[in-house]
Amino acid sequence: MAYGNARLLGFACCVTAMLVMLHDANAAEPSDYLGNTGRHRLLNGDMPPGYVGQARLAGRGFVNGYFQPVALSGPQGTRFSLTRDGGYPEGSEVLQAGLLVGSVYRFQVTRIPLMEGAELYPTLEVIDRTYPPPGLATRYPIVIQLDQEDLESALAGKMVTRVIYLEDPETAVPMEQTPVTNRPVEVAEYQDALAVADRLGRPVAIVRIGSLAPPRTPALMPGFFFGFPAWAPIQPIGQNPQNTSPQAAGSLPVTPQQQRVGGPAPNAGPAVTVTDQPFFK
Amino acid sequence: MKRIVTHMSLLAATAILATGCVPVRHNLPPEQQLMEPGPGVGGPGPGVLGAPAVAPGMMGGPAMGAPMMGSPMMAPSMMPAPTPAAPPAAPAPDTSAAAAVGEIDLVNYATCGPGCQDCRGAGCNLFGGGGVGMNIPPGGGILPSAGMLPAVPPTLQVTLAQPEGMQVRYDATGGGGFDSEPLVVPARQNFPQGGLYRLKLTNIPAREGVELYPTVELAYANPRTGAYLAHNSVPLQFTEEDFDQVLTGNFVTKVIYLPDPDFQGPALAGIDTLVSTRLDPGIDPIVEADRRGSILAIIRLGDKDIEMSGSNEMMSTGAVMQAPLAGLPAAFAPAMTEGCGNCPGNGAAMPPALPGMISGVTTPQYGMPMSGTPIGLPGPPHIPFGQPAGLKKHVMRNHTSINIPRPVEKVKMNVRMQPGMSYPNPVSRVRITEQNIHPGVPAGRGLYQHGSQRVDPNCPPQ
Repeated sequence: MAYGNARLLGFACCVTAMLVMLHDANAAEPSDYLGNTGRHRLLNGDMPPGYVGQARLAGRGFVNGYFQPVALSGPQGTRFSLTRDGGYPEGSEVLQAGLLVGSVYRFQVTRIPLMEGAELYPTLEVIDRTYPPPGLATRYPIVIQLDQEDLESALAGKMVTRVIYLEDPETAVPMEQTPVTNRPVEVAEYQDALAVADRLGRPVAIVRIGSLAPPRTPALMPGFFFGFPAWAPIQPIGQNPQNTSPQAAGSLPVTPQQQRVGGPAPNAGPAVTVTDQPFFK
Repeated sequence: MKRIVTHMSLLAATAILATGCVPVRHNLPPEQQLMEPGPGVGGPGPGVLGAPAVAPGMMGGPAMGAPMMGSPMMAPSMMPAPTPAAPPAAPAPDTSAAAAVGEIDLVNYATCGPGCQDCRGAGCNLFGGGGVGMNIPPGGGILPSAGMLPAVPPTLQVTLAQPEGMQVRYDATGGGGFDSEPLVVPARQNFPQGGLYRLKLTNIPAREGVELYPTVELAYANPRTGAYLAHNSVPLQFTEEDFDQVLTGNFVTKVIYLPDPDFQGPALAGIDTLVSTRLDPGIDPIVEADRRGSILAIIRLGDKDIEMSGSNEMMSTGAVMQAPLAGLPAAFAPAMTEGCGNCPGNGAAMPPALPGMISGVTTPQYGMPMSGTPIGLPGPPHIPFGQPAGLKKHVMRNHTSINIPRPVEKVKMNVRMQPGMSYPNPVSRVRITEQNIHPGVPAGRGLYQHGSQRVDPNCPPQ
């Protein structure tokens, strides 16, 4: 009998060992904590300005020191200007400048239609660069078009985040994108604009618009302007180099060939935007 | 028979436990704790670093300007704050044709040249000097020489929105009084983060002679609120209902917070406010706001007159903190909200090669409790309080079941694509047969072997 018990216990141990080996632990799957996108994202659009750009600088591809041409425009009559010598010169309706990838620039928006006297100080974070043909970088800047709705929402106390991305060529809309036809993809508040833009293409810039005013204390100005990162003005060829204000460049620059024939540069807009404006207002 | 049943029961119980039919759930620490170093208790482990430090600069953005344009190998958390002392150290963008990055010379950038008075011969923006032979300034940061200006604390902007016409005073010098110039609502003022400030409200519309002294507790910026605070101000509003509650003897607590996306409806953008008088009894507005999102500011409003003679309320709170900068309000106590006022990247002295949070260096020693005992050893204080020291032994047993798996040494991955790839077999044999269906003309004959044909008279000439 004792021998039978020992056999039974041995059999039980063997079965238990087999079950343990085949056991699939009832552990919480990592996917249980995933969001709707099915994966964890290291970066999101709600991060403080500069995080995403710095992550790009530490990433693959050397983009340090590259001045990415950017063309910023808004509703008719709105003026944009970048800081210069600690202040803002007279703005222009189309602000063009080369901005360092990874830096955050705080620009000024004035003369907003239907908002007399209102000023906004949004930030523009260049998080990646484009790769235009050699010599044509200024012909194909990152075109950023701000809507009247964005500016009004910011003045109302809301915060608007626009993520500008380069369309995936395989899924891009087969139509020419112009500032008139370019419609932003609006996402809800609970969605991440950067994630949506990353799904649709390659994000290259983030514009965050709020109603913050410049501080009165001079010691706080470097922090307000994110350390005054360098930027390079863009002007059409033939303009007096002494007058290098980018605000003088009221139109997009032209290539040397186009300048000879006198034709204007096409307003090519390779980027489209994702904004976190709510669906319903 | 009885033994067999016993053994079978034992076997069944063992099998149940082994196979995990008993539900086993892994209880992970909160997300905030996972961001911290320390094995299991303080975080996932010393090898896992948290998010880079937040709150340098004005509103909580990362270190910008010159440091961020340095070496790409530099982690964000290693970068110092954009203090005015930050020297421009950005890599010089090469304007030559051989430049591997950017090809600046091919880009139609406007450069003004060294003789440009407007650009001071150093480029077309900023105060920083350019590199050798270039007109584009290399870096951001311009600022005067190092060590001449004090460290700039992270601040946030507060908008005093309602009621219009009310005057607000604060402690501007750290002397314990309300010696600032009055702010007439609506007004804005920058406050250092992480402070507890006492305000004085006067000239309240329709409430002649009423003076109130609310406190405003401002939280530190965190990765969730940094972007918002960098672009928006925190509105502080006092409604008629708040004044009515206070003047009838109630205590009003208003918590302004930034809702998490789960609590933010599509039609609701921006921040939200919880008021203690509008919540159900027993609900703490601070706890509720902390559950819903990230707290930005807490307003506590009562009817106590702290300037009454003899009260000496302002000075009795202990050490009054000095104003960090001229023009900024002085806090009378640090905020109790979570945050980091001296994190790396916030202007604090920090070894440049160390990452964000190091136990014992930038954070308290791991495992070291914060409270002390009368016997000189760490542990809970004496109970009851106030008695002479009599505690000789303190035993604390941890009955928490801990299952920290060992790290994986080997990972085997089996990859299978469905459907798999199937290519046709490559050509391995070629058989070529050439056949001429028009044999050549025998020797001695003409190429045209047909007879003459009749030509159609209606056919046009070719």
